[in-house]
Amino acid sequence: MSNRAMTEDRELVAQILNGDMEAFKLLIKSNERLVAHMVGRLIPDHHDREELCQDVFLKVYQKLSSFNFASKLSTWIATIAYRQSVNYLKKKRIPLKRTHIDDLEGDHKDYFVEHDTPESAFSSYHTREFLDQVIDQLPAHYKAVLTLYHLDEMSCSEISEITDMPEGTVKNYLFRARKLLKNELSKYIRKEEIL
Amino acid sequence: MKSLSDKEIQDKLDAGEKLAANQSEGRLYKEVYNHLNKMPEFELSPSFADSVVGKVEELQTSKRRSKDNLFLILSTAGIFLVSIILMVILGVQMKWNSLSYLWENKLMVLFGIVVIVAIQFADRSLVRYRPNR
Repeated sequence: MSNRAMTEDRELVAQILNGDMEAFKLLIKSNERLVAHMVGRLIPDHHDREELCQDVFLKVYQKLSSFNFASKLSTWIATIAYRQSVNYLKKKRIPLKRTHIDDLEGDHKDYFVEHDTPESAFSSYHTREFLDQVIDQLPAHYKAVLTLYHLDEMSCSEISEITDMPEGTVKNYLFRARKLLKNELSKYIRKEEIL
Repeated sequence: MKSLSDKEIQDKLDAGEKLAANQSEGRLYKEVYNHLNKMPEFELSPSFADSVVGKVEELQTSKRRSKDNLFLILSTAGIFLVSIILMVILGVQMKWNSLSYLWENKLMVLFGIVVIVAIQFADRSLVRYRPNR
């Protein structure tokens, strides 16, 4: 973590702890996308997402005095967002692991559709929808790892810190999830071509 | 040309390297990567930060209010306790028939209670009223 970023984090936290609500608003605005990515990917119920994001930032405010700057402020906030989301899923009895993830080692041939025509653009739209559905079916830990790596551009060590999983497990989940998505996409395109 | 394994393709894409055009698995992976790098549909409302700050302020106010209430309860209990102790120490004898004054003027007492309740109600519903709650 760079010294400049660390100093900025320290200044912001000090201002918030002194009761500066504008500084807290700044913290929310600079981290709301990060929290929205995590909650948006992990929480299936659209109505609960915004409220859960609010709860994340309320928790951030309440716990801010205990933040010890051992990591980036954004990493710490992502940790709270991840834990709040997992707690929500547990509370709602939504299984954290539910998918045909064990079918990872399937044998798929090479198919690909080029998107040069309006028909293929239409097909591309359906491909995106299909991929969204497959991602939704992934276990929560896989979704969290994918979101933090691809959307929030975090390193595997940062993800390991946030999710409290060993770095090797993070790398393994990342690899398996992307391979599963690729295999499912391959199957889907093959099926579309047959139809 | 030797086809790359899944691990090799993912490593290349993570490193931002280009894949050979004939890598069909690679193109599938690119599609997956492009999709993963896009924002999910969910977006927070534009007034999100304001509503969180509003909630924080509300929490602080209610915390302060409960602190005030606790202080009020404890001080009342304290005064009551000190009064009893003083009465015991000083040997004060209560004459309960002196309270008969209240019974004789029960309408006035009732009126007083109604006024207090009305003031409390007006305070909560008009003075401290918050439309967003």
